[in-house]
Amino acid sequence: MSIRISKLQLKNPVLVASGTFGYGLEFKDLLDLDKLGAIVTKTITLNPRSGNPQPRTFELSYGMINSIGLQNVGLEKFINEKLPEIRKITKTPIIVSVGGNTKNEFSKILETLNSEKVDAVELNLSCPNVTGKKIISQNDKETYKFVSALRKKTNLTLIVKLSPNVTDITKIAKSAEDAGSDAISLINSFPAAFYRLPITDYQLPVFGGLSGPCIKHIALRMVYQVSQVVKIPIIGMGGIMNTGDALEFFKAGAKAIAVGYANFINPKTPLEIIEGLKPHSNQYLFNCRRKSV
Amino acid sequence: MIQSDCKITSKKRLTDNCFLFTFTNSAIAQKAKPGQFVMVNPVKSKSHQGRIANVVLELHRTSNGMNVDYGIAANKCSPPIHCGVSGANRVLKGLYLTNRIFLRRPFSICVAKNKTFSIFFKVVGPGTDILSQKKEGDVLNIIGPLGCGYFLSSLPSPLSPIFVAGGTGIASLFFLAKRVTNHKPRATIFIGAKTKKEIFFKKELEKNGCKVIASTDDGSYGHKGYISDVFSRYLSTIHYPLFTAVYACGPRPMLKKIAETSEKYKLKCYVSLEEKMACGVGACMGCVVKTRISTDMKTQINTADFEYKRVCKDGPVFDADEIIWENEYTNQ
Repeated sequence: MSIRISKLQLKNPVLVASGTFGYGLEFKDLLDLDKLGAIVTKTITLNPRSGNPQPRTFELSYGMINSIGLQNVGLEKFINEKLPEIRKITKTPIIVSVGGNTKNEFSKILETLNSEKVDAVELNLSCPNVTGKKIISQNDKETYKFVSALRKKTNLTLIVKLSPNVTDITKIAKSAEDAGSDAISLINSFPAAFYRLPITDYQLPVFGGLSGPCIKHIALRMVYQVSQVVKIPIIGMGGIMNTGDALEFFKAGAKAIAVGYANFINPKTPLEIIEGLKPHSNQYLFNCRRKSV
Repeated sequence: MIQSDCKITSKKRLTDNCFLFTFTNSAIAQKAKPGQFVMVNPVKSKSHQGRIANVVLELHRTSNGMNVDYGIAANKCSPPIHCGVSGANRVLKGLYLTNRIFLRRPFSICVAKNKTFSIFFKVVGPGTDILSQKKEGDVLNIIGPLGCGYFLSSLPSPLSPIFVAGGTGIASLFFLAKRVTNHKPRATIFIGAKTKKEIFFKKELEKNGCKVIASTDDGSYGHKGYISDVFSRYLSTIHYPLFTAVYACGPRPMLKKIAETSEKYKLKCYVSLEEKMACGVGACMGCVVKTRISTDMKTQINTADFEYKRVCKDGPVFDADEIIWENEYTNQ
């Protein structure tokens, strides 16, 4: 079941999506981390971020809206405290999700991570929860400029996570590929809004990112469209709850998948999917996408 | 922390919408400490599939060829059960509930014995609604025990502790009270509720040697009014120091008042907070509360220096000095 994304060798194609799995440490009692394909961390920024005020979550019948605002411990604490701890308990590849306000911030993080024991970086160019900031991956030229500049800063496998909130996802994906990205993560959560209940007269909506099974089929469409135009691997995500969902993403052209929202419902979902995929490995993982890197 | 399928061995309906569920799982029960909680998946049940089939069957029987727009009808009847839905509506609601996905719901551990543990909850929304429809013998997937519990180390002392419970906040304090029964002198417990019917566990607490002081919003039992006011009046008549610390669990506005009153009387106060959660294990950062960073917490005046701490992992019990109380809202 093993796959390769550029320099990154994974024992299976099932990852956990950024933001839903903390720094990998939080779930260590509930599942065997060694069995995961890779762990994608909560997005790390150069300086610690306190995140958004409450309310931060809103539950829907088929998903949720979150407005966390990239709360994280910052690069220094991540490298000094979190990374050694997670390295101690598992050998599973660690993909660090990287966020920031400026190109400079991104480059500093990437330069620092070059000499650390991490296996890949995922550029979060698409967080919907940071106010006053344009989503970089909503513009193909910006994406190209950003990714090509950052490509030079890192020798690690570079994954770019894109926003689904665009007119033509294939254009953005193509510019990420042209700029030297090794893989594309599709998709981040959708910008959405909710009202805290009960609704009062003076209340303003809370903006957040919509995720869960309600976005699955949009994600699926985008994975398919992008798989038709790019040659680099696609990591598909968005509402994957079980093996069946994962198979649909592979069918649509994903080389790997990530489980996000489902970790909250059942933290063992990624392992159940890995087990469930075993009988299908020939059928899907290797045949559906002949375009290899 | 353990994830396990737990069987409901006993289900008690204490009032129209308050339930006490007991589960069998010795691993969780033995590890549980007062103040900790469990995350319950309210729909993953072995009889779940059968239940959907039954609901569909009944829908056919009761709707009687009626042309119902499923989506609209389901939305109309999605509020909690007290709206008195009946017949086809009720069935539609059941179908709507069994078909949707639920995040796990956090519940304080209310009783933990050698092999069993209990949760106590009130139906406040669709999640607790569907949970309340579970029967004895049903199996639910539970993660627990989670969070850090009450700080018990300060308890063995010649002074007695005070417990203040608002509404279903009694659940975790009942557990705490049971664990400190051999404590002399006895603990004082304040219980605030909406009506007389919702004062729970009073007899058991008294049997355990606690002094119970109660209040109800409508005056149907004990003092009329908020328990925080009763608490404050009580402290003003007492010659202290008589108490070690105050342990409070309940709605946010109540906790804020209890914390303020405790501070006034120089009592250490611990509050158990409630917040909406997604993961329950500290990964998603959804359930945070604003806290002070400064080590000498009371001297920090500038509230711009703060840190969001996770209620699920860093709490749910916090030192009240640590919390930055904001314009608190209630979930109810």
